[in-house]
Amino acid sequence: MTMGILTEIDRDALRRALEAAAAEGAGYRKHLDGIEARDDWVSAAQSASYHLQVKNLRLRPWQCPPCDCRSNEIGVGYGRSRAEVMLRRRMLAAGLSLYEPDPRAAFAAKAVGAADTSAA
Amino acid sequence: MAGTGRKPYVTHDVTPFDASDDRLKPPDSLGPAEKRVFWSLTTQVPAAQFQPADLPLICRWCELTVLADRAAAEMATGNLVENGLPSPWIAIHEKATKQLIALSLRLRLSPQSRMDKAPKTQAAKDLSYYDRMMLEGDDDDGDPDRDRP
Repeated sequence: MTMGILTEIDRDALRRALEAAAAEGAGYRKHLDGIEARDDWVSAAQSASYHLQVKNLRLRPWQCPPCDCRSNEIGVGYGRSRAEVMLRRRMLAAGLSLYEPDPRAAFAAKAVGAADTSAA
Repeated sequence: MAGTGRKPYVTHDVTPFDASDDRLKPPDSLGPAEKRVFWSLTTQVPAAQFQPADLPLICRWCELTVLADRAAAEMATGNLVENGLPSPWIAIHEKATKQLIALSLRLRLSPQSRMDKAPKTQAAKDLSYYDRMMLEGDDDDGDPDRDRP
Protein backbone atom coordinates (compact mmCIF):
# COMPACT_ATOMS: atom_id res chain seq x y z
CA MET A 1 0.00 0.00 0.00
CA THR A 2 3.07 2.25 0.12
CA MET A 3 2.40 5.48 -1.76
CA GLY A 4 5.73 7.13 -2.35
CA ILE A 5 7.59 9.22 0.19
CA LEU A 6 5.85 9.73 3.51
CA THR A 7 5.67 13.28 4.80
CA GLU A 8 5.74 14.19 8.45
CA ILE A 9 1.93 14.69 8.28
CA ASP A 10 1.61 11.15 6.93
CA ARG A 11 3.81 9.73 9.66
CA ASP A 12 1.81 11.53 12.33
CA ALA A 13 -1.47 10.16 10.91
CA LEU A 14 0.02 6.67 10.67
CA ARG A 15 1.23 6.80 14.27
CA ARG A 16 -2.24 7.78 15.46
CA ALA A 17 -3.87 5.12 13.31
CA LEU A 18 -1.61 2.41 14.70
CA GLU A 19 -2.27 3.50 18.27
CA ALA A 20 -6.04 3.66 17.78
CA ALA A 21 -6.23 0.33 15.98
CA ALA A 22 -4.04 -1.42 18.53
CA ALA A 23 -6.30 -0.13 21.28
CA GLU A 24 -9.25 -1.97 19.73
CA GLY A 25 -8.23 -5.23 21.31
CA ALA A 26 -5.54 -7.75 21.93
CA GLY A 27 -6.44 -9.78 18.86
CA TYR A 28 -6.09 -6.89 16.46
CA ARG A 29 -2.92 -5.67 18.19
CA LYS A 30 -1.42 -9.14 17.67
CA HIS A 31 -2.40 -8.98 14.00
CA LEU A 32 -0.66 -5.61 13.61
CA ASP A 33 2.40 -6.86 15.50
CA GLY A 34 2.57 -9.74 13.05
CA ILE A 35 2.60 -7.36 10.08
CA GLU A 36 5.30 -5.24 11.71
CA ALA A 37 7.44 -8.31 12.44
CA ARG A 38 7.04 -9.64 8.92
CA ASP A 39 7.36 -6.34 7.04
CA ASP A 40 7.89 -3.06 8.86
CA TRP A 41 6.25 -0.43 11.05
CA VAL A 42 4.90 1.53 8.09
CA SER A 43 3.08 -1.49 6.68
CA ALA A 44 1.44 -2.18 10.02
CA ALA A 45 0.39 1.46 10.37
CA GLN A 46 -0.96 1.55 6.81
CA SER A 47 -3.02 -1.55 7.53
CA ALA A 48 -4.36 0.11 10.68
CA SER A 49 -5.22 3.26 8.74
CA TYR A 50 -7.05 1.23 6.08
CA HIS A 51 -9.03 -0.61 8.74
CA LEU A 52 -10.00 2.57 10.60
CA GLN A 53 -10.98 4.52 7.49
CA VAL A 54 -13.25 1.70 6.32
CA LYS A 55 -14.79 1.59 9.77
CA ASN A 56 -15.15 5.33 10.37
CA LEU A 57 -16.44 6.14 6.88
CA ARG A 58 -18.70 3.06 7.00
CA LEU A 59 -17.43 1.95 3.61
CA ARG A 60 -18.83 -1.01 1.74
CA PRO A 61 -16.47 -3.85 0.84
CA TRP A 62 -16.15 -2.55 -2.71
CA GLN A 63 -15.44 1.05 -1.70
CA CYS A 64 -11.87 2.26 -1.49
CA PRO A 65 -10.67 4.20 1.57
CA PRO A 66 -8.64 7.34 0.87
CA CYS A 67 -5.39 5.70 1.99
CA ASP A 68 -5.69 3.22 -0.86
CA CYS A 69 -7.07 5.65 -3.44
CA ARG A 70 -4.21 6.16 -5.85
CA SER A 71 -5.80 8.16 -8.61
CA ASN A 72 -6.54 11.85 -8.75
CA GLU A 73 -8.67 11.32 -11.84
CA ILE A 74 -12.23 10.03 -11.90
CA GLY A 75 -12.53 6.90 -13.96
CA VAL A 76 -13.43 3.25 -13.91
CA GLY A 77 -12.24 0.78 -11.29
CA TYR A 78 -11.38 0.51 -7.64
CA GLY A 79 -10.56 3.87 -6.07
CA ARG A 80 -11.55 5.88 -9.12
CA SER A 81 -15.23 6.57 -8.53
CA ARG A 82 -16.31 10.20 -8.28
CA ALA A 83 -16.85 10.09 -4.53
CA GLU A 84 -13.57 8.31 -3.84
CA VAL A 85 -11.53 10.73 -5.90
CA MET A 86 -13.40 13.76 -4.55
CA LEU A 87 -12.69 12.80 -0.96
CA ARG A 88 -9.04 12.21 -1.79
CA ARG A 89 -8.79 15.61 -3.49
CA ARG A 90 -10.47 17.34 -0.60
CA MET A 91 -8.22 15.73 1.99
CA LEU A 92 -5.13 16.78 0.10
CA ALA A 93 -6.51 20.31 -0.41
CA ALA A 94 -7.18 20.57 3.34
CA GLY A 95 -3.61 19.57 4.10
CA LEU A 96 -4.66 16.25 5.62
CA SER A 97 -2.79 13.02 5.22
CA LEU A 98 -4.50 10.35 3.16
CA TYR A 99 -3.73 8.06 6.10
CA GLU A 100 -5.91 10.12 8.46
CA PRO A 101 -7.74 7.43 10.45
CA ASP A 102 -10.98 9.42 10.71
CA PRO A 103 -11.26 11.89 7.80
CA ARG A 104 -14.66 13.12 8.89
CA ALA A 105 -13.38 14.07 12.36
CA ALA A 106 -10.25 15.59 10.84
CA PHE A 107 -12.35 17.83 8.59
CA ALA A 108 -14.43 18.89 11.58
CA ALA A 109 -11.30 19.67 13.60
CA LYS A 110 -9.93 21.71 10.70
CA ALA A 111 -13.19 23.66 10.48
CA VAL A 112 -13.13 24.40 14.21
CA GLY A 113 -9.50 25.47 13.98
CA ALA A 114 -10.26 27.76 11.07
CA ALA A 115 -13.18 29.31 12.94
CA ASP A 116 -10.98 29.91 16.00
CA THR A 117 -8.30 31.48 13.85
CA SER A 118 -10.75 33.80 12.08
CA ALA A 119 -12.37 34.80 15.39
CA ALA A 120 -9.02 35.68 16.95
CA MET B 1 -41.23 -27.59 5.70
CA ALA B 2 -44.43 -25.84 4.68
CA GLY B 3 -44.84 -22.45 6.30
CA THR B 4 -41.17 -21.81 6.86
CA GLY B 5 -38.99 -19.18 5.27
CA ARG B 6 -39.60 -15.66 4.19
CA LYS B 7 -43.04 -14.68 2.99
CA PRO B 8 -42.72 -12.86 -0.30
CA TYR B 9 -44.42 -9.51 -0.66
CA VAL B 10 -44.42 -9.86 -4.44
CA THR B 11 -46.97 -12.24 -5.85
CA HIS B 12 -47.55 -13.18 -9.43
CA ASP B 13 -50.89 -13.72 -11.02
CA VAL B 14 -50.29 -17.24 -12.29
CA THR B 15 -53.40 -19.17 -13.21
CA PRO B 16 -53.28 -22.82 -12.12
CA PHE B 17 -53.65 -25.34 -14.94
CA ASP B 18 -57.20 -26.37 -14.13
CA ALA B 19 -58.50 -23.08 -12.79
CA SER B 20 -60.57 -20.53 -14.60
CA ASP B 21 -59.11 -17.10 -15.15
CA ASP B 22 -62.53 -15.58 -15.70
CA ARG B 23 -62.95 -12.18 -14.17
CA LEU B 24 -66.14 -10.73 -12.81
CA LYS B 25 -68.30 -8.79 -15.22
CA PRO B 26 -70.18 -5.62 -14.28
CA PRO B 27 -73.96 -5.94 -13.90
CA ASP B 28 -76.13 -4.05 -16.38
CA SER B 29 -77.43 -1.85 -13.60
CA LEU B 30 -74.12 0.03 -13.41
CA GLY B 31 -73.81 3.23 -15.40
CA PRO B 32 -71.07 3.77 -18.00
CA ALA B 33 -68.76 5.67 -15.61
CA GLU B 34 -69.20 3.05 -12.92
CA LYS B 35 -68.49 0.30 -15.44
CA ARG B 36 -65.23 1.97 -16.40
CA VAL B 37 -64.22 1.97 -12.73
CA PHE B 38 -65.31 -1.67 -12.49
CA TRP B 39 -63.12 -2.78 -15.39
CA SER B 40 -60.25 -0.67 -14.16
CA LEU B 41 -60.44 -2.32 -10.76
CA THR B 42 -60.96 -5.92 -11.79
CA THR B 43 -58.23 -5.89 -14.41
CA GLN B 44 -55.60 -4.50 -12.03
CA VAL B 45 -55.87 -7.13 -9.32
CA PRO B 46 -55.22 -10.87 -9.47
CA ALA B 47 -58.13 -12.76 -11.05
CA ALA B 48 -58.64 -14.80 -7.91
CA GLN B 49 -59.01 -11.78 -5.64
CA PHE B 50 -62.76 -11.36 -6.19
CA GLN B 51 -65.53 -13.96 -6.11
CA PRO B 52 -69.08 -13.50 -7.48
CA ALA B 53 -70.27 -13.00 -3.91
CA ASP B 54 -68.15 -9.83 -3.77
CA LEU B 55 -70.07 -8.21 -6.62
CA PRO B 56 -72.34 -6.02 -4.46
CA LEU B 57 -69.36 -4.57 -2.59
CA ILE B 58 -67.47 -3.97 -5.80
CA CYS B 59 -70.50 -2.19 -7.30
CA ARG B 60 -70.67 0.08 -4.25
CA TRP B 61 -66.97 0.79 -4.66
CA CYS B 62 -67.53 1.81 -8.27
CA GLU B 63 -70.50 4.06 -7.45
CA LEU B 64 -68.66 5.75 -4.60
CA THR B 65 -65.57 6.28 -6.73
CA VAL B 66 -67.64 8.01 -9.41
CA LEU B 67 -69.43 10.05 -6.77
CA ALA B 68 -66.19 11.13 -5.11
CA ASP B 69 -64.72 12.06 -8.49
CA ARG B 70 -67.73 14.16 -9.34
CA ALA B 71 -67.68 15.89 -5.96
CA ALA B 72 -63.99 16.62 -6.40
CA ALA B 73 -64.66 18.11 -9.83
CA GLU B 74 -67.52 20.23 -8.50
CA MET B 75 -65.34 21.51 -5.68
CA ALA B 76 -62.54 22.31 -8.09
CA THR B 77 -64.74 24.30 -10.45
CA GLY B 78 -67.31 25.82 -8.06
CA ASN B 79 -67.12 27.93 -4.94
CA LEU B 80 -66.27 26.15 -1.73
CA VAL B 81 -68.39 28.63 0.21
CA GLU B 82 -71.65 30.07 -1.11
CA ASN B 83 -73.79 32.62 0.79
CA GLY B 84 -71.68 31.94 3.87
CA LEU B 85 -72.35 28.21 3.76
CA PRO B 86 -69.91 25.48 2.72
CA SER B 87 -70.63 23.81 -0.58
CA PRO B 88 -72.70 20.61 -0.16
CA TRP B 89 -70.17 18.86 -2.39
CA ILE B 90 -67.67 19.01 0.48
CA ALA B 91 -69.86 16.79 2.66
CA ILE B 92 -70.64 14.50 -0.27
CA HIS B 93 -66.95 14.13 -1.03
CA GLU B 94 -66.14 13.46 2.60
CA LYS B 95 -68.79 10.79 3.02
CA ALA B 96 -67.91 9.05 -0.22
CA THR B 97 -64.22 9.03 0.67
CA LYS B 98 -64.91 7.60 4.13
CA GLN B 99 -66.98 4.79 2.67
CA LEU B 100 -64.34 4.12 0.03
CA ILE B 101 -61.74 3.75 2.76
CA ALA B 102 -63.94 1.25 4.59
CA LEU B 103 -64.55 -0.71 1.39
CA SER B 104 -60.91 -0.68 0.40
CA LEU B 105 -60.06 -2.69 3.51
CA ARG B 106 -62.81 -5.21 2.84
CA LEU B 107 -61.81 -5.58 -0.78
CA ARG B 108 -58.08 -5.65 0.07
CA LEU B 109 -57.29 -2.69 -2.14
CA SER B 110 -55.04 -0.62 0.10
CA PRO B 111 -51.32 -1.17 0.82
CA GLN B 112 -52.15 -1.96 4.44
CA SER B 113 -54.67 -4.66 3.62
CA ARG B 114 -52.45 -6.24 0.97
CA MET B 115 -49.79 -7.10 3.53
CA ASP B 116 -50.03 -10.31 5.49
CA LYS B 117 -48.78 -8.55 8.57
CA ALA B 118 -47.34 -5.21 9.47
CA PRO B 119 -43.71 -4.93 8.37
CA LYS B 120 -41.11 -4.88 11.11
CA THR B 121 -39.79 -1.48 12.01
CA GLN B 122 -36.18 -1.46 10.98
CA ALA B 123 -33.56 1.17 11.58
CA ALA B 124 -32.50 3.10 8.51
CA LYS B 125 -29.50 1.52 6.88
CA ASP B 126 -26.22 3.29 7.54
CA LEU B 127 -24.95 5.01 4.45
CA SER B 128 -21.28 5.10 3.73
CA TYR B 129 -19.58 8.48 3.44
CA TYR B 130 -19.39 8.03 -0.33
CA ASP B 131 -23.06 7.08 -0.60
CA ARG B 132 -23.97 10.26 1.29
CA MET B 133 -21.77 12.33 -1.00
CA MET B 134 -23.54 10.99 -4.06
CA LEU B 135 -27.02 11.34 -2.58
CA GLU B 136 -26.59 14.87 -1.36
CA GLY B 137 -24.66 16.04 -4.37
CA ASP B 138 -21.27 17.63 -4.20
CA ASP B 139 -19.60 20.71 -5.55
CA ASP B 140 -16.39 18.91 -6.34
CA ASP B 141 -15.00 19.38 -2.87
CA GLY B 142 -16.17 15.96 -1.73
CA ASP B 143 -17.71 17.19 1.49
CA PRO B 144 -21.38 16.28 1.94
CA ASP B 145 -21.50 18.22 5.19
CA ARG B 146 -20.72 21.43 3.35
CA ASP B 147 -23.06 20.66 0.46
CA ARG B 148 -26.12 20.26 2.60
CA PRO B 149 -28.57 23.10 1.97
